[in-house]
Amino acid sequence: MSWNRRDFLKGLGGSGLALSVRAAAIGVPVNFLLTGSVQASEIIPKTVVMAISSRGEAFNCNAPGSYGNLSDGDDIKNNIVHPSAGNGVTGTIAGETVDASYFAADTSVMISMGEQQVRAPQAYQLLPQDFLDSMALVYHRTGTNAHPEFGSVLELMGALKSQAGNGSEQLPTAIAEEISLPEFRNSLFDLPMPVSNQKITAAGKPINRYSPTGMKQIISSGGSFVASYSDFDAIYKSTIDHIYKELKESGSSAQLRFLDQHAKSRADAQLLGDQLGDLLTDINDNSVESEFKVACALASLNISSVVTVLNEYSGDNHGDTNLVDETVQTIRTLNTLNTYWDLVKSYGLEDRMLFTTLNVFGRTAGTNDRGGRDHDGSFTVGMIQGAGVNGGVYGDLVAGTRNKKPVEVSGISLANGDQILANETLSAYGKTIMTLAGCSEARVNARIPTSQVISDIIAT
Amino acid sequence: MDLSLESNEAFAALLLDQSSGNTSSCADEKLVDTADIANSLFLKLIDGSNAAEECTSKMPLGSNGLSADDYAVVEDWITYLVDNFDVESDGETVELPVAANYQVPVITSVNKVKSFLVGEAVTNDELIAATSESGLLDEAVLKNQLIDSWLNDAEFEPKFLNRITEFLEISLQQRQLANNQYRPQLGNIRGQNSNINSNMMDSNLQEMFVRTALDIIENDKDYRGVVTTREWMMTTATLAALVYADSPRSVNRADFKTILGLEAQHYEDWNLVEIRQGSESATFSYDADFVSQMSAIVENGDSIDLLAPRVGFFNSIVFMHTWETNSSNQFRLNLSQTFLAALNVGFQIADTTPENNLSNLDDTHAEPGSDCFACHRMIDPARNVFLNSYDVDRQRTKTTMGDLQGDFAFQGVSEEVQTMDDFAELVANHPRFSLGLTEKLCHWANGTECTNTDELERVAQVFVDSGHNFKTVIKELFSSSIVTAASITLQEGSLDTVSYARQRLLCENFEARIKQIREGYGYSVLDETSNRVDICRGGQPATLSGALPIDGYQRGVAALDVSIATDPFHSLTLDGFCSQTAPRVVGGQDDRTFKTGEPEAEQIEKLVQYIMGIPESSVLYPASYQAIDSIYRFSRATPVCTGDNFLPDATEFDCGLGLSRANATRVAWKAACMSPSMLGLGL
Repeated sequence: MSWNRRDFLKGLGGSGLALSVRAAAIGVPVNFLLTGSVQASEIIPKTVVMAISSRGEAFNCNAPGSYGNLSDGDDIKNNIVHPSAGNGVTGTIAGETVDASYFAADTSVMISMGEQQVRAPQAYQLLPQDFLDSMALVYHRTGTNAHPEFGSVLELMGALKSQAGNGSEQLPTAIAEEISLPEFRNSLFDLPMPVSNQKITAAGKPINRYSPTGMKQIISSGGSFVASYSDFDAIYKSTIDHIYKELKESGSSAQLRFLDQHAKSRADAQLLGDQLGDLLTDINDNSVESEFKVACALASLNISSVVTVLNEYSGDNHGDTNLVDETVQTIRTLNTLNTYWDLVKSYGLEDRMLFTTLNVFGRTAGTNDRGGRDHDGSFTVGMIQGAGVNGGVYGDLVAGTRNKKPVEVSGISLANGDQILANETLSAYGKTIMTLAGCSEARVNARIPTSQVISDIIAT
Repeated sequence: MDLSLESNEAFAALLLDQSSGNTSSCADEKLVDTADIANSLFLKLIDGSNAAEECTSKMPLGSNGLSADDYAVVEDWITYLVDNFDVESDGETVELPVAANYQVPVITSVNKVKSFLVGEAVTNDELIAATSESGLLDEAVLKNQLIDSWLNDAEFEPKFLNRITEFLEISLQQRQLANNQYRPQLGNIRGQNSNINSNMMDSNLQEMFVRTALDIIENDKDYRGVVTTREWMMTTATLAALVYADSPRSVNRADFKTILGLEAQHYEDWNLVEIRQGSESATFSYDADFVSQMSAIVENGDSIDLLAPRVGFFNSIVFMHTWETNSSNQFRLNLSQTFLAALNVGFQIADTTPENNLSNLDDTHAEPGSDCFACHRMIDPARNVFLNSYDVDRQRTKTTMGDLQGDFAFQGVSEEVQTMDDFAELVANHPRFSLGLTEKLCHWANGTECTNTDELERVAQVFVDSGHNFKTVIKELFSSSIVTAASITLQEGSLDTVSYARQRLLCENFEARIKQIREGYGYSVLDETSNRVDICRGGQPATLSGALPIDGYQRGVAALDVSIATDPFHSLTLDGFCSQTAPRVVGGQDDRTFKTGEPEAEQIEKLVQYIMGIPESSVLYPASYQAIDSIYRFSRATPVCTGDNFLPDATEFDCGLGLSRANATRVAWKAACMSPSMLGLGL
C-alpha cells in the first residue's frame, strides 16, 4: 500500500496524537504533514529527556573532568575524593562486572569525548563511543546549597522567564512550551511528562506525575465496556456540548480550560492506549531504568517533547561511609545510560533525542566526618548528550576555600575568548540546553535574557 | 551600602517596565515604572519612610524598609537605569481578553462547596435556599445556613470531619512518606518475630495527630492547639510506642514489635491522653502487664509523663519519621518543615529578622554576610530545641535533656526560646499562622494557590477574631467568592476556581452520593466496606482510582502538592474507572443502587441529581436530564448503529446501540460518572 500525504492525514479527526504518531513514524516534522512543505533550514526539535534531582547528586565528584593527573602535584583535581576499591560494591555496566576500583583516582584513564581527550574514571570506558562523542559535561554553579531551592534551580534562579517574558518558569516546562507547538513537533502534551517522583511545575502548578508501572496499569486495565470507546466518545462529546453550551460561549478561563483539556485528552486517550501499551510490556518496576524506558517509548510516539526522570548518582549521602551508596547508584546509572542509548538506537531516534541532567547542587569534593558528602552549589556538573553536541568537558575549576570543598567552578572559558562568569554558568547551561533542544535563538534569548549559550558545545 | 553590578543592561532588561509576575498578588505592578519612577514596586517595597500597605511585605523581609540613605542609593541607581537604557521586551505580548460575562450558576458554587465539605450532592431545597430573588448566590444563606449545617448538624458533622481528614493529613504532614518500618524510633514494627499488627500500628501512628486535630475542630477548641497541645488522641498501641521511644536504643534494645499483649482492641481504643513533661525517661516494658497499664491510662483518659517534649504536630512519631534527620542535618529539616506546615512559609535569605543569639551556629556557615549565614543564623539556634531533646541518629529521646540556648527569629518575630513549649507558643502566635492556614485551605479547595491577598487576609482575620475556630475559617472561606467564584468579575487569567477531582475527593464523593441515594430511597444499608458503596475499593477500580493524582506535600515546599491532571492518561484512568464501576452500581440485585427493575425515569433522575449533582431547580437540570435520558434511549434503540448518530436533545432514535436495560443504564452511569460537574468541581 502506498500513501500520499492527503491519504495519510485522512481520518485523523483532529487528534493531536494521531498526527504526532504519524509524524514520528515517518520521521518528518509535523508541519510537513500540516502544510506539505518544510524549510531546509528548519531545526527539527528534539525530545528532551531530563534527569533531575532535588537530592543533590555526587555526579560532579566522579564524572570525566573531575579526575586529576596524579603525577602532577599541582593538579587541584587530585583533591577530589572518589570511591576506592575495597568498599565492597560490585555491579554491572554494559554486561561487564565492575567494582569501586573503576572509579578510583589511581585507575583513571584518558577517554575520547568528541575532539577532546579527557581524564575519566575507568567505568566510562564501558559506555559506547558514539554516546561519549556526543556527551558534553558542563561544570557550573547552581548557587544554592538547600534542597528546597530546587524549584528555583529549575527556573535557573529566576533567569528563565515565562512565555510572556515576565515572571519565571521551570526549564522542562519552558522547553516543552517552545517546541511542542504545532509548527514544530505538535507533541500530544504541551507540558513535560514527569515519570519520576521529582516535582516539576508549569506556571507554579505541579504537573501530575505517572510512575512507569502506574502508566502501564492505566493503559492495560481499562477493560471492556458495553459500549465501544468510539461510540461512547461520540455520545459523550455531544452531551457535554449540549449541557455546557452557555459556559462554552462565555465561561471563565479556568472553566473553559478545563473543558478544552478534558475534551482534547479524551480525543487522544484511545489511540494513546493502543500505541503505548505494546511499548510498555516489559515495564515491571519503578526503577530509574524503567523511567528511561518509558521516556524512550513516549519519545517514539511523540507524546511529549520533554520527559523528566530521576538523576541518580548518590542521593543525599551525608552518612554514606566509604561512599557505598554513591558507588552503587553511579554504577546503576551508567548501566542505565548504556541501556538508554541502545533503546534510542533501536527506535532510530539518535538524531531526535537530547539527554540532559540538572541537580539542585553538587556534593562536596571532600568527605565529611562520617565519610559521606555534604551540599555544594559551587561545584556541580550537568550532562548534555545527543545529536548536535560537541562532546567534551566545559567549565573551569579552581581551588576552593574550605576543606570539604577543595575545588569550585570559576566560570566557563570559550574558544572565542569569551568568559562566562561563575554566577552565570547555570543560565548558560540552560540556554545551551534550550538551543540544542531546537528552540530558536530569538526565543532562547527572550526566555533567558542573561548570560550566553556555551557555543563550543554546539556542533556546526 | 555599596551596590556592585555586573551588568546594568541586564538589570535594566529584568526590571524596566516588567510585571512582577503572573501569579503574584503584585501582578499589576511594574518592578520599575519608567513613566513614574516613584510608582515602581521595587522602590515602594524598600521605602522605609512610606508606611502605606503594599501588595506584599516590605523588603528586606522582617523590616519596614531601608533607611533614607540606603533608599536614596537604590533610587539613584533606578533613575540611572531608566535614563540610560531603553529596553524592549523580546517576549511575546499576551493580550488579555476582556472580562467574561458568564455568571457562574448558583449550583456550580454550592455543588463545589458541599462536595468539598461533606461530599454529597446538593438537594433541591438547599439550592432554592441559596438562590436569591435575583437568581444569584445568596452568600449569607450559604454561609450561615447551609455551610453551618454541614459543619455542625448531627447528620453532617461526621461527614465533614471525614472529609477534612485528608486536609489535616497533608497540611500537618502526618502521612508517612519514608517507609512503614519506623526503624529509627521504634526499632522496627515489621518483619519476623513480630507480635504486633504492623499495618494497624502504621495506621495508628499516622492517625494519632490527625485525630488530635479532629478533636480540636469537633470541640471548637482553639485551632492553634495543633501546634501547642499536649493532649493527644491515642490508642494503647500508640501510647506504648511513645513510651518505647522515650528511651535511647541502649535502654530499649529489642524492637518495639516484640512487645507482648497488644490485642486488636488496643488499636481501636482512641481517647485523649495528656502528655506531661517528665523529668526522666518513661519506663517501657515488653510484657503484657505493661500493655495493661497503658490500656488503663487510655481508657481513663489519664496522663503520662514523658521526657520527650511531645508538643504539637511536629513532635509526632510520623512527622519525625518522614523528616528523618541525621548528624549533618541536625534537625534543621524538622524545623524547616514545621514552619512550612504551620506558617506556610520557609526560611528565606531575604528575611532580616534579627537573631538574639548564635548558639550552636555551624562553623561552616558562620561567615557573616554569606548566603549560608543569612539562613543558618536563624536555623541553627532554633533547631536547638530539638537537639536538646532528641538523639540525632534515631530521634529517640535523650536520657538527659540538653541545655543549648535556643532562639526564634523568623519572619518578623524575634525572641529567645529554651523549651519546645516556648517554641510552640511562638509558632502558634506568629502572625503568619492564621494566613498560612487560610492559604493552605484555599489551595486545597481550588486546586491551585490563591492569589487574592486581600480576601485571604480578610478571611484570616475572621479566623483570628473567632479565637482561631477552625469551623469559622471554613465557613468564611468556602462562602467567599474566592472559592465560589460567584460574585467576582471573571477576567481571563485572574481566577482559577475549577478544582480537578483528585483521588480521595472523587472516591469519597462517589461513596457519599451512593449512600445519599440509598438513604433517600430507603434501600438496604450496606456494609461500609462493600465495594457497592465504596466503589474505589478492590479490583480494577482500585487500581485505576489509585492512579489518579493524590494530594500531598513535599520536602521544602510550603504549598500543598496538588497536581494538574487533565491529560490523556487521566482521561484513560477515568474512562476505565467509570466503565469498571458500572456493574457495581447497576443491576438487579438488592445491593445495586441503580436497579434494573425500577422505572427508567427514576434511574435518570438519580444519575442527574445525585451523581452529576444537579438538582431539579438548577438551570442546568433540563439539559442534563434530557442528555442522560437520550443516552439511555439511544443505548436501548435498535437496529444497531454508531454513536455518531446520537443527538443529546432527541427523544426517539431510529437506531442505537441495541443494549439491554441494565447495559443502557451502565452507559448512562458512565456519562454521569464522567460529567464535568463531578470531575471539575467548579463547573
